[in-house]
Amino acid sequence: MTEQAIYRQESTQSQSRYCPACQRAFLVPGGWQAIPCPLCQQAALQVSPNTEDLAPIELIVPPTLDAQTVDVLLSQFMKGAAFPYPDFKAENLKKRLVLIYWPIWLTDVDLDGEWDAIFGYDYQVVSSREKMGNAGWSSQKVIKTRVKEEPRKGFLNRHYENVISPALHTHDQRLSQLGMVDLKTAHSWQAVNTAQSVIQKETLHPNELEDGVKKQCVNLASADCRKASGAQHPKSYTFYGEFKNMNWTKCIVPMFTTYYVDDKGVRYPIAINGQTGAVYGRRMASTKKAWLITGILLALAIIMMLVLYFSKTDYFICSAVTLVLAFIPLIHATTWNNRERNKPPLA
Amino acid sequence: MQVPKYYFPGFEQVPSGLDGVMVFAPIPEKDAEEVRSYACPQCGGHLKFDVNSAGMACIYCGYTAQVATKQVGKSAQSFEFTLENVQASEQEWESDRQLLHCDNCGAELSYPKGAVAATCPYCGSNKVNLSLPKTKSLRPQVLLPFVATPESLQPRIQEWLGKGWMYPKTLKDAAQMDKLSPIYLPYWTFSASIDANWEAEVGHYETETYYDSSSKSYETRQVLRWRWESGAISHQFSDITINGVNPQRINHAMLTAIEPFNLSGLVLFSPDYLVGMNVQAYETPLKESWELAKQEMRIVTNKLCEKDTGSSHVRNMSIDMNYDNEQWRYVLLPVYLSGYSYNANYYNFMLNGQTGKLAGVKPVDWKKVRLITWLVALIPLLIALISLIIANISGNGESLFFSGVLAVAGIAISIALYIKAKNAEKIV
Repeated sequence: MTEQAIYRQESTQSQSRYCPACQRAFLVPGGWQAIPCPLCQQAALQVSPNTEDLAPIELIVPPTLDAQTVDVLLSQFMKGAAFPYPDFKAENLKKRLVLIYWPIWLTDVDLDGEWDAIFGYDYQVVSSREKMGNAGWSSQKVIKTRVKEEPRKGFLNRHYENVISPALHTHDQRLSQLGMVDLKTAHSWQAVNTAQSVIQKETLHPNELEDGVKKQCVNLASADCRKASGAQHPKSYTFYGEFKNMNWTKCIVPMFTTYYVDDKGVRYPIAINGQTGAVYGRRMASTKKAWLITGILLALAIIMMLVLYFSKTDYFICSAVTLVLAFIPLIHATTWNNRERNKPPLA
Repeated sequence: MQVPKYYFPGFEQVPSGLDGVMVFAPIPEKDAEEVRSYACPQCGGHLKFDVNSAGMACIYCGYTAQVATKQVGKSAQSFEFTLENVQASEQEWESDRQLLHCDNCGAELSYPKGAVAATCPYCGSNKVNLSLPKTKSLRPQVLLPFVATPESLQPRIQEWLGKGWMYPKTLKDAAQMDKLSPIYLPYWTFSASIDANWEAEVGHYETETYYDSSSKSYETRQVLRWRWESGAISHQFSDITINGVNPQRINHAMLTAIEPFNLSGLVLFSPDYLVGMNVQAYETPLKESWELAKQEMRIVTNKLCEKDTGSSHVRNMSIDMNYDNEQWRYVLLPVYLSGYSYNANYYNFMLNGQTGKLAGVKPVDWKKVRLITWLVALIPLLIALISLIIANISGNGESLFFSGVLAVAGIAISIALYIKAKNAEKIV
């Protein structure tokens, strides 16, 4: 039985909760008991005193990963981890999987106005490469591609749909960690779709995002105008016009989270993109395990040293080498952990 | 959305590849009217370009007007070897004849291909065909105006005719001169930068010590040692000029002899310069002319690589050369064509319309040449013969050697004079 199943009870009324450790806010199915924060895993979610109205969810992107695929993804993720903690096992990770949805804004907008641009057009020139040897000169035709810049102006009247804007302050980091999902699979949200899932609340609202959306729309318009002009390279683009009928849609996209526990009981979260299967998380090495191996090797080295010393053989050097090699596991675990700690935390 | 085609000043609407986007591009420079006729604004007579006044002049009322242009020199616009340009230069001359319509009398005139300026044989009006050829970059963008006037060149022609002992003495006075016909000839100018890597066996003299068994001592001597070396050079070629006239139409050797032209005098093309003048459009396409320019570049590159070795002993040289930034221009350069009759024969000559440099053919007075060459050969032979006789009689053979040398030298000089006379028959 998954942890999600344990939390589940007979209730569909969502409850607003927050994590006292990372301050992230969630909507959790009403009947669920003490659930740890699915993102930071450092504290149990508390009932939120903040009862502000959230924007209604309009679209949902369903997860497409099946259990078998998740198994494979987790096994691949674990492969090669140095000195894994005893808890870092596929079955544990799978047991603790929680499906959560995180929000993004999709904007529909009409652009209407004039534009002014300088675009680059490819053209080809004939050049040559020549060689002189005993047989005289030989010439080889070489076609080179160059770019000429030309001004273009015009009018644009186009409708842009589903321009993605962040609904979370950590949107960009999350995209760099897990990537985006295919928005074409989005459909209308109904409460039953997320009855057994956690939904992360948005932290950014449309009135804060308008400038960013306009910038994105201008980039899309620039690409369209370049295409319409038959040019290959954008050099500069300015749009002078209106952004009409701006319509914001809240869409939630899926991700799975799980965690493993180290020797001291600290939880390390792992996240999986609900569609593409991209996995992100820190794979910490157990320094306890590394110390144990180092200790065994050190003991062996000392025993060897004593035996060789008393046997008065010339192989005394072998024990010295073993002594040095004994520290390699510890050094490896330390550098591995340093590298993993440098990874940004789960966004 | 309905928007006027010329909504943005200087731009016109062009086809768009996407719905909801209207695209306007800069209006291409419009072609001038295909055939331009020139009439005098004062009397309605025919205008023509006058070299003496360096402007247009009416041959009836004396009206003159300066040509509006600008001196651009070597900074004149040049073009790249785009696929379009190269292909166009090959295809421009597909038909042998072209039609010109005379606005003055309505006649349809047929001219050989390449005739840029023409005079209507029915009404005498002068015309310039600006639409030739179709690709704009292949129409002359710049030209070098005539600087030397026919009057200023007459003394030079007279001096040229009278110069040289092997030509008839009466040539200067008896030659019946034709008038100088100014003509603009087509030239291509080429510029490019090259990077060349060379590899060769280079010989260096080294001092070697050896034991000389004859003198029983150690001596030194210089020996040439060969070793493989490599290097790289870069060079910028600027304005290599290649004439674009069919060699069957104009003597290329004579044309080469009146070069160079100083291209810093190039001015922006104006059809006014061509009114009433003979103008030849290019007949050797861009690609062929570029090959000729590249031959010159190869020779120079080869020399530069040899120089880069730092030795005069080089063998088995190989060069790997890359061209870059190749540019070309199509220019019209001024030349006077003329000729003269002498003893029922006709001889051509031409002059550089800018510098006045002259090259042409002159008849050789073979009677005079033969007499002199025979004398140069026979007199020393005679002296040698007399020396031989005296030596036989006197029994003293001391002067015999010098007489022999004199005789051989006389024969050699006479052969050299004959060869020089043969060459003088060609172009001088």
